[in-house]
Amino acid sequence: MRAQLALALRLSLVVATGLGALPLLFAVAPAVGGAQVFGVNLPWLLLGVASFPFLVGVGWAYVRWAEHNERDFTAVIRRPEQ
Amino acid sequence: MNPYVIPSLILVVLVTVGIGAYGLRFARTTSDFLVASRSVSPSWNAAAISGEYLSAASFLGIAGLVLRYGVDVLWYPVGFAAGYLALLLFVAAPLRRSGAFTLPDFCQVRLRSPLLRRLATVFVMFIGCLYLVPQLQGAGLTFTTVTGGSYTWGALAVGLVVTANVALGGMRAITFVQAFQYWLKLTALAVPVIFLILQWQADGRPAVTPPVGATFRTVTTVTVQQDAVLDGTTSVKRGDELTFPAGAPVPAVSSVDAHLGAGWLLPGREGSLFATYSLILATFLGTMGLPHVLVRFYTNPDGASARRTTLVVLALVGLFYLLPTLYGVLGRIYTPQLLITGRTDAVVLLLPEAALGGGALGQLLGALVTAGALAAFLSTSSGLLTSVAGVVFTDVLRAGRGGSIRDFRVATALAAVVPLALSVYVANMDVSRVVGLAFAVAASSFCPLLVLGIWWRGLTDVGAAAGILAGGGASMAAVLVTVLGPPLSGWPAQLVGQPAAWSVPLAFLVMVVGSLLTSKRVPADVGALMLRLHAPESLRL
Repeated sequence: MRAQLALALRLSLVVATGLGALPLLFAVAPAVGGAQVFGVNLPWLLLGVASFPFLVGVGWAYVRWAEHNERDFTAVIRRPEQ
Repeated sequence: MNPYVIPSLILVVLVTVGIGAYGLRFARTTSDFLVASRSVSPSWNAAAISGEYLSAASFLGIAGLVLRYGVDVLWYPVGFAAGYLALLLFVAAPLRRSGAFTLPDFCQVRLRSPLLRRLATVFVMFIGCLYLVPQLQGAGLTFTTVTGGSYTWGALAVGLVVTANVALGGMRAITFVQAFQYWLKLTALAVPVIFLILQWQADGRPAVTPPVGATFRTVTTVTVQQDAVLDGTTSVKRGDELTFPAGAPVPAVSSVDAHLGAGWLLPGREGSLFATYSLILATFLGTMGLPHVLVRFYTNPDGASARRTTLVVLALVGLFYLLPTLYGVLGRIYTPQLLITGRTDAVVLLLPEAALGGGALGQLLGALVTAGALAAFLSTSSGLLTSVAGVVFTDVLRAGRGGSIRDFRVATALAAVVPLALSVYVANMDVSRVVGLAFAVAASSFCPLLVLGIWWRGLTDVGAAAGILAGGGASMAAVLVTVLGPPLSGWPAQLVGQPAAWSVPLAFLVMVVGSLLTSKRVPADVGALMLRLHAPESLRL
């Protein structure tokens, strides 16, 4: 349980810094907000397109590691019986 | 009027009712009705959760907000999607393993307190209503925009179809209906957008933000919706018709809040940093507290599949949210008249015909997005009604799990009456904003309860109740002031209009301090409970 909570907290920290820092960045450095990539303003690309694959990627990593944790846990519990 | 719209709307309703009736053949017992016997396959379930989640606010509201305010409101779709990540990380698997049916059930299982259960019931009904009213209003607005018919009839028709479907089919039927409606909604936005982008290319890629601000591409006649002042000089009355030549800039209208210049492209124009972070917090944490989202998780067979389902939902929802932004951006070019009428929520509905002309192609695509909008109202309000009716059934009618199917039908009718009446009588509430407020209330009441209840042994019933009352009550008051109270300005307006940034930490704080003060009331069997919530199924405990 502790391992699962630590995993969830670590990944939410990744999301909080990855996405949560954006409004601050745009406010502190307006130049970033005006920057253009492929003729589209950077904030539109970051928020409108890139954020969704990022979220799915973090979710996928979580499911993988959480199931890994559970397998380890099951293995530890089962071993003494044999 | 578009001749394809009425047939396509009738088709959507018929298919919805048809799948509902097909599902009825499987619904045998009350348990079937409430959680579909927990035997729905993960892919069906994920599509159903997504279908239920993508409401009028997602389908119409986001594009409308983008048209008005630009890049800042993209936090809405990002937050709506990220809410599922928070749900996946902190809640999905343990909540499913708890074996609870509804949020009040979770209170009972975790803290064994009837009082807390009643409190949770009140909040489920409040959030359910808050979320259901704008759905029905959106339906009425769409009906008016597309057919020119009366607002009341549109709202009532959708309300009645939903009530009948939930009462007759229950959740099993609803699962199939929701899954169908996710794919319908995705198609209804994805297919027209291809044609729209091709048309934009063919028109020589007109600029989204011309140097003089938003302009009319063609000669446009606009009917003014409210008394207003244009560009700070000319007064116009409701019902006046204004004609603008091609290339004319869109005037600033005093009654419509919108960004017209090139600043629309840049972040930081709409609201303060505080409002942005508050919105992020509300949407990230609010999703897990929405009653109709949680009730779905009980239909997964076990905790691990609940996790996998959530991941698929995150992907499906993210895929959908790529589209409304494009409608908002293209609406800036092809439907600038909405910035004068203020009916920006209609941009998705009007854009195909505005961009592609009134020919058969434009009309067919217009009918397709209208059908998608109808699917959005139907699916979200069905899901909400099912969960609110479930709570009314088990907690208000006190039927218990042995209750009859007839009681569930009575509960559905009861749960539908209040939002239906409200949606007819309450005046124009802004669809996306009200939905945002529902998220704020959910984030500051159920989110702390779930997160602390699942991960912290020390939570007590008194602490939980105090936290819900403090955070949820405060945000509820803020919502009532925003919707019913006088207009505010300055910092009070920020604090009341986007309450999540202070009400969520308040709820967590009160819950933790309250629990520590009453630590003798920690349930004696908390260790066994935690084991049940967190132990993998493969151990077969």
